[in-house]
Amino acid sequence: MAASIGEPVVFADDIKDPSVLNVATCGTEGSVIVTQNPNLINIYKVEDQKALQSWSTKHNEHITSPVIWSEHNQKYVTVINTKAKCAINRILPSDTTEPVVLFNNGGVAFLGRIKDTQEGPLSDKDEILFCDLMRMSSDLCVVCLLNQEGKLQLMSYWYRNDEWIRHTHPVEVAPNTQVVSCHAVPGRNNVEVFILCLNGDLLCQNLSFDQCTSQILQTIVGVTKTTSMVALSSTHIVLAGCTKDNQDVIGIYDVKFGAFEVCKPLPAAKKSSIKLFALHGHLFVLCHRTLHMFSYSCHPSSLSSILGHQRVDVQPQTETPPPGPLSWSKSKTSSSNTEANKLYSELQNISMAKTQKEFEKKFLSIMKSHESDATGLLSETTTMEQIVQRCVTDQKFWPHNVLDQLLVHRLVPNSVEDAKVAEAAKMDGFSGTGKSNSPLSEAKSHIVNKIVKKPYNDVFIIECLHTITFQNVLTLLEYLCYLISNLDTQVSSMPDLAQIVSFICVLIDAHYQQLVLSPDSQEVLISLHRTVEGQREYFAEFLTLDVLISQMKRQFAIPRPRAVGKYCIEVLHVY
Amino acid sequence: MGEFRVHRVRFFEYQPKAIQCIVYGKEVNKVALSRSDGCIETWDLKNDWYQDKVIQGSESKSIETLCWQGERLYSAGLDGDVVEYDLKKLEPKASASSNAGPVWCLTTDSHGKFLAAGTEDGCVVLFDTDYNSLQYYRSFDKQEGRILSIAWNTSLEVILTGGVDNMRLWSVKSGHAVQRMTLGRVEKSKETIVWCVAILSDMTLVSGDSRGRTIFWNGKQGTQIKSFQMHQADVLCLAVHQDEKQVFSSGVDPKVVQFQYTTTSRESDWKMWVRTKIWYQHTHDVRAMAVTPTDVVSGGVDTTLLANRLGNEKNKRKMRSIPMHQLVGVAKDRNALLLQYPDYLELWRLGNTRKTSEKDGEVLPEEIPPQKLIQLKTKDGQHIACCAISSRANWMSYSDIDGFKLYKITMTDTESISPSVDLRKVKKGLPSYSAHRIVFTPDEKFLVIATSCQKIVVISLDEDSVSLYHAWDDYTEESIHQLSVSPNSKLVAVADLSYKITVLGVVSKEVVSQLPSYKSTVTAMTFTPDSRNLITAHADQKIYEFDVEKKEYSDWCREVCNKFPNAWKKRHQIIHHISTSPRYPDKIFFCDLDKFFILDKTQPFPSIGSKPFNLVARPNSSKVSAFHVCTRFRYLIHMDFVNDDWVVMVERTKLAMMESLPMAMQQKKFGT
Repeated sequence: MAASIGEPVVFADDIKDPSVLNVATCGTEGSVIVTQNPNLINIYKVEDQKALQSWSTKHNEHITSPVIWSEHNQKYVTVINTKAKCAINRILPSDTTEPVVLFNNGGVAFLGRIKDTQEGPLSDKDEILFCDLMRMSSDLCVVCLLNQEGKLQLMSYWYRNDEWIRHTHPVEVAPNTQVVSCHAVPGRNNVEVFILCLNGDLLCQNLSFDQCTSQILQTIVGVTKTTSMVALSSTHIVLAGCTKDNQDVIGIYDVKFGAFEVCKPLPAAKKSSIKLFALHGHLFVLCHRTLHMFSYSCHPSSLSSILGHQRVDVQPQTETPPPGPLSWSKSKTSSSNTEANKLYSELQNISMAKTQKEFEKKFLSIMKSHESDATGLLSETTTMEQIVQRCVTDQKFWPHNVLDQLLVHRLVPNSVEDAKVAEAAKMDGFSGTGKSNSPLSEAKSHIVNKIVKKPYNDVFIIECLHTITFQNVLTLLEYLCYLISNLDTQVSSMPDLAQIVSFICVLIDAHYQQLVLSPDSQEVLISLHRTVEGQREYFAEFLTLDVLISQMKRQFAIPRPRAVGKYCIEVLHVY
Repeated sequence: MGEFRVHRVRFFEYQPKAIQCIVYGKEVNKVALSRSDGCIETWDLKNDWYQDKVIQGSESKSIETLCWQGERLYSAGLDGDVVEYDLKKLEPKASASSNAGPVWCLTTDSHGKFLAAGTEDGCVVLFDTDYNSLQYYRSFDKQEGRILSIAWNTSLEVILTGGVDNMRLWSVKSGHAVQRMTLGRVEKSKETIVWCVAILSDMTLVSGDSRGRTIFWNGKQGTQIKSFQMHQADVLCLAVHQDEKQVFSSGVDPKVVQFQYTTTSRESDWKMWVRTKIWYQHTHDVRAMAVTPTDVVSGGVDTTLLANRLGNEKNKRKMRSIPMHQLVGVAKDRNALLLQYPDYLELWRLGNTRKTSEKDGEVLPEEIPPQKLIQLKTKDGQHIACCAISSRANWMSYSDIDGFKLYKITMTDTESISPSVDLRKVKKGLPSYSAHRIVFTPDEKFLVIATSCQKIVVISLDEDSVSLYHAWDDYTEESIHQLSVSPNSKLVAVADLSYKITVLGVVSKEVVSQLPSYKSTVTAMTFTPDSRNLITAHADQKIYEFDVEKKEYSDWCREVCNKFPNAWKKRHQIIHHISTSPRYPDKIFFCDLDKFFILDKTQPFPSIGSKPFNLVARPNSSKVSAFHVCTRFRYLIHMDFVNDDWVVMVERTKLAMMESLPMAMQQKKFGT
C-alpha cells in the first residue's frame, strides 16, 4: 500500500468561525498552533492532542490573519485588525527569513517593512483566492491565485536582488466552472500549483521564474463546492469533501494514475465548507465546527500498488451502451459534422492525443456523435479503420476501453483483419475461444460470451430470442455446443457450463417448433445430443470417482468406536 | 494366529441383583453375601476370590441378615425364621422361628454356641446352636420399637442393639437392658434410626445412624466419645477390623470411610478415633460391608463387590456380579444358544452368513438373523441352579431346588424365518435329584448330572425312553462345581471344591483316572479335540494339561508348569471358560471377564520375571510369546466354539447393567 489514512481523532471542537481557522507549525517540535476562533489561539501537542498553551485576544479584537510562528524572530505573529496603512491579507511564515506580509492590494513585504507604503496591482473588487510562500533551492516566491476582473490570474513575486519581482500569468479553466481549491508545492526551481475546478478538472500550473505552463492532469469525479485540496507532493494530493459512492470522503489521490489510493468517509456530515491542512504527517480537517485529525502516510505510487484501484472515468457508467446492437435513434438531431471531423483527426494524430486519457476521452466523444449518426456506416469508413489500426498498433499505451467499445458496437471495419483485433483483444484478457474450428469469429464469440454471461430473465429473453433468424439460431446453437466441448475455465471472459446450458435451454425453448421441424437443424441437434451425452457420461464418471474417494477416506480415517448392537457377526483376527 | 467369525451376542439381558448383606467367615476364610433375590454366594479368599458356591433363593424370600458361625452359615429375614444352610448341598438345612416377627439382624457369640437375633417386635431372641442344632433358646425383655442392629461381646456378656432413636446394652445373663443411649434428632418429627452398631472389647460402642453420623461411645458410662458427620445420608453399615483399631462406615452416599484409633502425636500415648481414609468407588448405596484381615469388602445397590486392600498398598479388586458358573449353553451342531435367567430359560438360534472377510473387526451382513425359539419359565418362579443343551439341540435340561427337568426339543426349518419348535417334558424314568451341574455328551446319548448330594449320575437318552444308566454314589464329600465331557462322548471330567479332579468313563462306568491333587480350585476345564488330554485352568491362573491315557501331565505341561510368569499369576481376573478347537489342535482358547486369550503350545513362554505388558505377543514385535490376547470384547460371560472358525462371545456390558439400576443419591460434583 503506497498510502494510508488512519482513524480520525477529534482534535478541537466548537470552532465558531471556520474562515479564520488555521493550523500552522509551531516553534515546539511536534506541536501545532491553531487559530481556533477569532479571539482564541491554542497550541496543541499532536501526539496526545493536549492543549499546551492558550491565548485569547482582548475584547473587540478579532484576528484577521491566522497566527504563525516566525522562526527568524522566534515569535508568534498574527494580525488583529487592519491598523496598517494597507489592509493585510495574510502573513506568510518563512523558515529562513522574516515572515512575508501579503496586503489586500496585492503587494508583498517582509514583516520588518510593513510600515512602508506598499503598492499593489489589485483593486477592491479583486479577490485573492489562494496565497502561499514557497522556498525553493535559491528562490523565495509568493504565489497568489487571483480573481481579477472575472479572470483567473496566477501572480508570483520572486525575491531577487532585495526586491520583489512580480509575474502574472492567466489561468485557463473550462467555462462555466469555478475554482474550488488550490494548493502549491515547491519543486527544485519551480512551483507546481494545483487548481481544482468544480467540474473535476485538476489543473497543474508549472511556475518558474521565466515561464508558466498549464496542464489538465486529471478529471476527478465527485468534486463539490466544499471540496478542499492539499497537495502532498507533485504526484499526490489529498481531497476532502469529495463525493464517492454517495458518501463524503477524504482520500489521497494519485494524480499520475488518476485514482484514489486510499479514501475514508468523513467523520461528520458535510454541512459547511471543509478546511484541510497537512502538517507533521497528519491531516487536519475541519468538518462542521470540529477539527479532526487523521494520521497518514504517502509514498510514491507504482503500477503494482495502484493495481486493483477503481478508476472512475468522467463519463458515468450509465452512458456505457449495453452489449448488443445500439438502437440508433433517428429523432435526435445530428451533431455538427465539423466537430466530429475535428475529433477524428485528433484521434488519428498521435501528437494531438498523446495520452490514453486524452485518446479515450476523445473517442467517447466520437461515440456520442456516432450514436446520433443516422447512417450507421461509420464502421466502414477509412477514418474508423485508421482509429482501429491505431488502437491495435499504438506502442505508447493500450486503449483497452476503446477496443472493448469497438468490439461491442461492431465498429471494427471488415478491412481490418479480424485475427489482428482478436489477437490484440487477447492481450487484454477478454478474448474468446482461440480455437480454430469455432463456428464464430473470435470477435463475435467474445460478444456472444458476454451475452451468455449476463444475467437474464427467461421470459423476456425468450421473447428477444424469437426475433433471431433461424439460421442465426443454428449458428448460435452450434457455437454453444462447441463451447461446451471446449470449455476453458481459465479464461475469465468464458461463461461457465451452467450458464451455457441455461442459455441453450432458453434458445431451444424459443425456437422449439422450428428446430424440430426443420431438416437443417438435424445435424446441430445430433451434435448437441452427442455433446450433452458426452457431458452426462463425463459427470457420471465423477460419481464413481466420488464414491471411490469417500471409500478411500473411510479406509484411512481414524476408526471411530463402533456402537455394538444386540447382535452382530464380526471378523476377529488375533495376532 | 487365529482368524474367526464371531457371534457377538449382547441380547443376554441378565441383571444381577443388589447386594444386601456381606459377612466374613474367619474360620473358612470366605465371604458370604446375599442379594436382593434371596440367593447367597460364597467367595473363597484362599482361591483368589473365586465364587465357589451359589445357594439359589427366590423372589418371595428375603434375606435381611447373614451370619457365619464357624463353618456354619445362617440367614434370617422377614419371614421371622433363622435358617442354617448346607454348604455342600447348597440348600437350607435347618430353620427356627424367632417367635417375635421378622428378624432384622443376627449375630453370634464368639464360642459359636448361640445366635442372637434382633426382631421387629423389639425382642432380642437367642438361638441355641450347640451340637449342630438350631433351636429357639430364650428371649430378652421386649422393648418399644424394632431392633435393627445387633452386636455381641461374649467376654463382657453384653449385647448391644440399635433401634429407633436409641441404643440399648443388654445383659446376656439377665436378659435386661443395662444401659440406654438416646440419639438426638435433626428434625423433631423425623426419627433417628440406628442402622448399624458394633461393640469392641474395651466396651467402646460404635453406631451409624440415619443422620449420617458415626458415633463412638463409652459403653460403660453410656456417653459419646466422638461423633463424626462423615456422610450426607444414612449410615447403613459398619465393619470392625479384627485388631479393633479400624472401623469402617458406609451408607447411602456411596463412600466408604475409615476411622482409626491412633495416637495424636508421636510423643504422646494418648489415642483417639480419627477419620483416616475415604474410598469413592461405588455408584449407588452401599448396603453392607465386611472386613477381612487384609481387605475391606463392600457392596450394595450397584451389585458389584469391591475389595480394597488395607494399609498403604493400593490394591482394588472388583468382583464380577454375574455368577461364575455357566449361564450359557451352546448347541454346536445346531447353531443355537441357551441362556439361563434366574427363573426362565431362553433358546436362541444364532445368525448366519456365508460371507467372510480378511479385515479384522469388520461386521459381516447377516443372511439369517438370530431368533428366539423357546422361552421356558420355571414352576412357581423357582430359581434355576444350572442348565444344559445337547449339541444338536434335541435335548434341554435344567435344575432348580425341586429337582432336575429334561425336555425333548423337536425343531424343523431351523434356517427359515419361522422355524417350528416343539418342546416336550420327559417325566418317566428320571431320578428326582436336584443338580448342581448338568452336561450332555456330544453324541446326545447320555446326560451326566452332578447332583446336590455329590453323586455323579449318568442317564441314557433314547428317542423313546430315558433311563438311569449308572451312578457313582459316594463320589465326593464336597460340592461338584465343574463338569466336562470329552468330544468322543466317552469320558467325563469332574472337579469339586476339595480340589479333586477325576475322569470317569461314561460308557464304561469306571473311574478312568484321577488327577494329582493341586492346591488351587479348578475354575474351568475342557478336553482336547482328540479326547486324550484334559486341560484345567486354576484359580492361581495356571493352566495344566493332563494325559488321560498315560495318567500323567503331558510333556508340554511338565515343561511349562513352572514357567508361568509372576505377572501372569498376579492377574485378578479368573479364567472362567476354556475351550479347544479341532482346527487349532496346538492352541488353547480361554477368557476372563474382559479378555480373550489364545495360548499357543508351540511357542515359548515369556520369562518368569516379565513385566505385565511383555506377557502377550504383539504385532510388529520380534518378541515371541505363547500368550496372545484380544481385548475387544468386554464383560465376557461366555466364550465357546460353534463350528471350525465360528466363536460365540456373549457379553453383558457394565453400562447395560447400570441402566436398570435405581437412581443414586444426587450429589453435587465439581464442574457439574
